[in-house]
Amino acid sequence: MSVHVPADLHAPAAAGPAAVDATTARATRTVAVTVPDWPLLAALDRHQRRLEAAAGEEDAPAPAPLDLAAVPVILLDQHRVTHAGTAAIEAGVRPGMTRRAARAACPEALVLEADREQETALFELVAAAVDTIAAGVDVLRPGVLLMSARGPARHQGGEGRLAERILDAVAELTGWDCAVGIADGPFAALLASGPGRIVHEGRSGEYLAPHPIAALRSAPVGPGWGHRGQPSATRDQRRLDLAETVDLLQRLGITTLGDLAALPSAAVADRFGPDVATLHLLARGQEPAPPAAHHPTQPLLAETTLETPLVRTDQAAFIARPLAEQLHTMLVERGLVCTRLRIVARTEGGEEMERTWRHDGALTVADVVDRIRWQCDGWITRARLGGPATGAITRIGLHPLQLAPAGENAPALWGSAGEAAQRASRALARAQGLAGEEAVQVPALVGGRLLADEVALVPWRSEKPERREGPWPGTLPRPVPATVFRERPSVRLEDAAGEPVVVTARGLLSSAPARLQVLAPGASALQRAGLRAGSGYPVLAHGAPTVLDERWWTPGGTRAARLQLVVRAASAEETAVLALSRTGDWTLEGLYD
Amino acid sequence: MGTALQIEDREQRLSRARAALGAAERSAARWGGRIDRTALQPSARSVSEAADDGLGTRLPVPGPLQTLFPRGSLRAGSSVALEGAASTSLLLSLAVAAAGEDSWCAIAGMPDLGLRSAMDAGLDPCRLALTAADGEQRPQVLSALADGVGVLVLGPDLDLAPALWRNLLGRARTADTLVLAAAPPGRADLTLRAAAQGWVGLGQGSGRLRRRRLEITAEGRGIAGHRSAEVLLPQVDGMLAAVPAGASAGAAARPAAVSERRPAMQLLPSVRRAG
Repeated sequence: MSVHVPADLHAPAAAGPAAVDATTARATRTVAVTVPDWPLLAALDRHQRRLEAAAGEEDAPAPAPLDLAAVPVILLDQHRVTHAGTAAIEAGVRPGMTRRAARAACPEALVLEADREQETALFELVAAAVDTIAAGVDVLRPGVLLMSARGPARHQGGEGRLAERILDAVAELTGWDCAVGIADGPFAALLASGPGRIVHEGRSGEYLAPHPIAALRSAPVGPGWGHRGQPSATRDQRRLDLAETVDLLQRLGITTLGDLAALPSAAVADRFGPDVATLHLLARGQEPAPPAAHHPTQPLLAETTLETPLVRTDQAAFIARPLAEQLHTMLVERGLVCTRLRIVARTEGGEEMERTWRHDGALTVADVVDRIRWQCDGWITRARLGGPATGAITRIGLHPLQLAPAGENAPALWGSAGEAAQRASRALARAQGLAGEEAVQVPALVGGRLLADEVALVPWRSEKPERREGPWPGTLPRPVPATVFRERPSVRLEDAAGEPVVVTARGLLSSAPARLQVLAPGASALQRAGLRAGSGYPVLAHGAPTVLDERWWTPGGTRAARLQLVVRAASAEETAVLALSRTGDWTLEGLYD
Repeated sequence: MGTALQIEDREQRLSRARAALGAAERSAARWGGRIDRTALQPSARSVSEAADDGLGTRLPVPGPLQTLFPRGSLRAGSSVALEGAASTSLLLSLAVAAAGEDSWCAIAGMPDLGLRSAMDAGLDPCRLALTAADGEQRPQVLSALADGVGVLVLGPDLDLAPALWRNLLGRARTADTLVLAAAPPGRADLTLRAAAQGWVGLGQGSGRLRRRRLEITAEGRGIAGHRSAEVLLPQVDGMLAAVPAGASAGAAARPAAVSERRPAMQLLPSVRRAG
């Protein structure tokens, strides 16, 4: 395969002498190696391998390699198109389409399913190829490698030369085309790798400024590449959604990285919180300071010697978990988290292979297990594909490279404080997003004479009304009714002779109530309690009326009286209700159910 | 023998200390306190697992009702159906006990809920959300709540479709959410039936409602046949309470006392005036 070096690789994006100012001193010179459309390439490779295997069995000639420009290829992940080949895009397939829509747009396309495990394992080939040129390669996620530029560039005699060597090595050893970008800081390097540029020292900010804000989606932050394709292993603690952030910034009128970088950093941190503050830092071409590194007096190391050398990929899974747990216990005992981990393997022949993994946040046991497995898979695959022979793996070691005090990443000490509230607030926010603000309400004590006025319902996360200070004479003593009717059903209270019972001006009952009649249907709670509309129920006991003289000092003042009653309902059970009399008409205020 | 006892004692003391510290941390988090967590806690999970002995997290129930439930507690992620009288107060007191110090509670489909009685029962208004759950988005809203809160209360007015009920139960089971429902359209793990035995405190023109005696019967998973208990709900302070030991003898006679007319009381009508 011919090596193709982008024409402008040696032409720096920003001409003129490099102005190194104090603010960029923090960003390390970084090389980013990316393989565009990596998931698609990996899936295609797997497809090809399967065809070859099938052809080998039938002794048919091996099929020719597919050309993405000629054959439309679609990659699906969870029934959505994530990547499409050039030919497929020309046919109208777009990422985000459903399988059906994509099939309709391009019926003859080759449809492949994404397989994250395989993508990661196969990427090990690329990492190994870059490893032949420069040491200290970090896998950010499958498809993206990061490494420090300074040492390798000096060794190779210039950054342009280094980029060329990497392109050559990857193309020679793996057959894939990759792209290399070199800049100050990982974000600028990542963006520069698209067009294959080398950005002058200290000019990363200028280089980033004209990029659209959507470029933040590829920022090397936030949910790392977590366990089993979930956004991040520590997703409970990290809630930064890059797509959502980009959307928000766009709606605020921030369209380029330069616009974002121009904002004062204190204001960004205040308004959006620490996660977006990190993005802001990246957009200015800087790099977040590495977390306060911690150097234990005794270096941490978890190692295991394998009695039966590792030759099959499924064996890797068995050894990975105890090793990861061992490391985890060691870290926990010291109150540390690991943000960079090196996995080292020694082979039968005595040679050592190592790979470093970066993770934003704390690596959990499951994350470490996955990484060990991917890496062993990768090495074994490489040996099988005829790469440099590795021999069987006899020893695996885990070396945490970057340790930090656990701090905020640690779970609660004695339980799960605050987690429930976070979970609930996410659920309530989702419910409000679905059905409107009024869909989720919370109670607010406001005070009032009637039970229904005492507590107001306000939408969740809206301002609560001010509490009106009492006193509220005539407040109902406990216990209070568990059901309070928002619309009070009308009732009729009769004495033994069938005459209506009223509350006199002195606050007394005109006669003892004997029957309660529900006039209108409506309240379902009443029906369930056995008080149906239209029929009368005997009153078994009644209290003394409590007079509520509301605003008697104004012309608009009203008088009401409350009366507790026990009636025998249709179900023959004693049911207690709270009746309210206003201008001679009785209604039911509450039901003790 | 002696050492085994000592070890057990030490373990118990350790778990008690952990529980006390956990409660302190939760209450600090509730009032916005920040705790500087400088170390990971390896046994954070084992503390909660110690309480569940392999049967999932257990949630407490009100003390007087403990005899009704298998193992005296409720499994997180299970469902309880309530039928009969006093369903609202019973829903509230179960929700209060299960929500405990930390969990959130969502109440759906109870438009006529008396919020003061909910607070009297001990429900924390800061961890309570109400939703009408009507309209087109009802399944999605209920599902979101079942995923997020600790206790989901479904009122009798909800009129759920059986399919949605089953769906909610499945979600709640995976999210460890306790579902309390009044008259659900399908099966629940446990069913409580309450029958009112009568009110105490109200005379003829005097007195006020003080307490109600309830007989509650439980049946369902983990209960052979059925179990029943007699409790006071509400008690004078609005909470659920056990029937005092001396009072159970007069239980049968008491409802008659309310029913019988006492005309003497009629002569002294007491007036409570509130101006």
